[in-house]
Amino acid sequence: MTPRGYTPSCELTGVTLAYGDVTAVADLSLRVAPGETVALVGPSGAGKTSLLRMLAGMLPASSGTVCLQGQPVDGLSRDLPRLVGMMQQRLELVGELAVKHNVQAGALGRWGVLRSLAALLLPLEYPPARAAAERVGLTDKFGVRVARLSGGEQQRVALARLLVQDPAVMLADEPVAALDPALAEDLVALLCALAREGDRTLVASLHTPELARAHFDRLVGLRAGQLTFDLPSDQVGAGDLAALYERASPAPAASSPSGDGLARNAPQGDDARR
Amino acid sequence: MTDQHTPSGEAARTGVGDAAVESANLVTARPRPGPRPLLALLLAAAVLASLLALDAPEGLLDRGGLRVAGDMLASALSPELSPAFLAVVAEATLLTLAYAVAGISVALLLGLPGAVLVSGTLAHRTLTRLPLVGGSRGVFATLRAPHELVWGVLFVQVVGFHPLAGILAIGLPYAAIIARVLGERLQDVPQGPLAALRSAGASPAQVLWYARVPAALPDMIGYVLYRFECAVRVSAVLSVIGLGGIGHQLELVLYDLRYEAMWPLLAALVLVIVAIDRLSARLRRAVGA
Repeated sequence: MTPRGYTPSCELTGVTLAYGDVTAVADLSLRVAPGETVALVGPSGAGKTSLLRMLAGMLPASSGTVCLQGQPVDGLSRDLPRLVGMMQQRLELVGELAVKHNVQAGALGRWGVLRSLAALLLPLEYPPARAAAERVGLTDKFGVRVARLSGGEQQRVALARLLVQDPAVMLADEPVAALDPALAEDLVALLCALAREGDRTLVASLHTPELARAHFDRLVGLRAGQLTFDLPSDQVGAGDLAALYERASPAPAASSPSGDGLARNAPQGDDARR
Repeated sequence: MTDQHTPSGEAARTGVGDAAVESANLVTARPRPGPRPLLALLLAAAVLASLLALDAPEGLLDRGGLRVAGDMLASALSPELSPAFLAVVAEATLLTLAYAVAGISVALLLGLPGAVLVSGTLAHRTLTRLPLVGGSRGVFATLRAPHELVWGVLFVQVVGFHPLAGILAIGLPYAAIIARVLGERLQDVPQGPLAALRSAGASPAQVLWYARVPAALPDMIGYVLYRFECAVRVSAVLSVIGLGGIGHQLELVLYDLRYEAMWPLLAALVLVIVAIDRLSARLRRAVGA
């Protein structure tokens, strides 16, 4: 699965992240190969978001090193947007702007102030933005203000913005937390397809292990800031997952997989809003 | 303040940790029945005391004043509507509007760049931001301290009874007010989208245009048009410093005790204010309020 002798796309070595007395990530090491799709699974508070934010260079590690394509993230400020881009859990779109401008914003790192102003104020079209919107299925919403879109459509806008940014490593934090199961499946499939089409590395956190197993190459279980397992997705067993979610669902899971997923979704939605 | 003090005091006494203090705050930080009636009594007493302190020799309303008020109201039934006078009203209204438009234009020309300066959103280094923000805030605070009419008196001293005096009297202090208020609007936008754009490589100027301005725009438009409304009101009383307009005509007709002519002038003012209000609502809707 992971060939020897490559430069890892993402590499965390002995990374610890502490907020005051609370340790979010504890002495964690992880390597992700170029083009790999990795799902981080685990209960709320396991450190998934913290890990992704450190990979995105948005949060400095307390100790240890975080490298992207062999270079430490903290020395990459100018080049960072080309190496890594993140879809955040709350999307963080600009609701007042049209889909077109939100998607174009992915190119801001490559544009000067004048070009970005012209793209905002003049009726110009930036072909990559149109192409990205088409790819995620938002062709007919291109001119619509983002605040008017549904949650699932907004998710696609954030994805299209990431495509226009075109980073080597795509990160996604709970990309489907706010979607119903059918939409969630569609979006995860799209996310993985886009990563594979562009030979991009994808690291995403997910609350639903079933989705992760179905679409990602590799699953990494996180609990209390530490790795509990790191396996190709076809080798992840029910025991691994049960151990991972032990505290979250103390009763032995005897129900069907889909019912299980739904039962887990409900409390997690609460967590996401907190 | 007392609401915050009590629970942390309790927490300290019982020696529980930070999380417990937080939850204690959540539970007890609610309005409690307490010194509210006392506060209300104090306020009422303050109002009464200040009324008594006003030096009104014949009481707050004397008999003559009441009669004049009655005459004014009665004249509303037969307002002066001769074409000649309505032409005067129209001209005065246009003049008042012209001062307001010119004044608010000057205010926007100086105030919008001022708002960006005051917000400190373009300077990313603390070392440059602090003096820039502090300095511009100081300048604008000084400019808006004197009332528009005080500025008017000063400018009449400098340029004489020239329209420029009226325009600057509105434009300068309003530029300062607009800079401060809109500067704060530009700061107080949701921070998440800003961080997302920054991590996609956007510079502070790009973040300003792509996230701060769009998020703040409906509020900014609403505030600028509210200020325009204020400018119309100020411009209507600029006659105090010898400039024409609705205020000047009002002065003339009241001097002659022609109360029936006062009503069309007031109606024109009301019409202008309502029109601005409608315009504001429409513009705000257009940009997504």
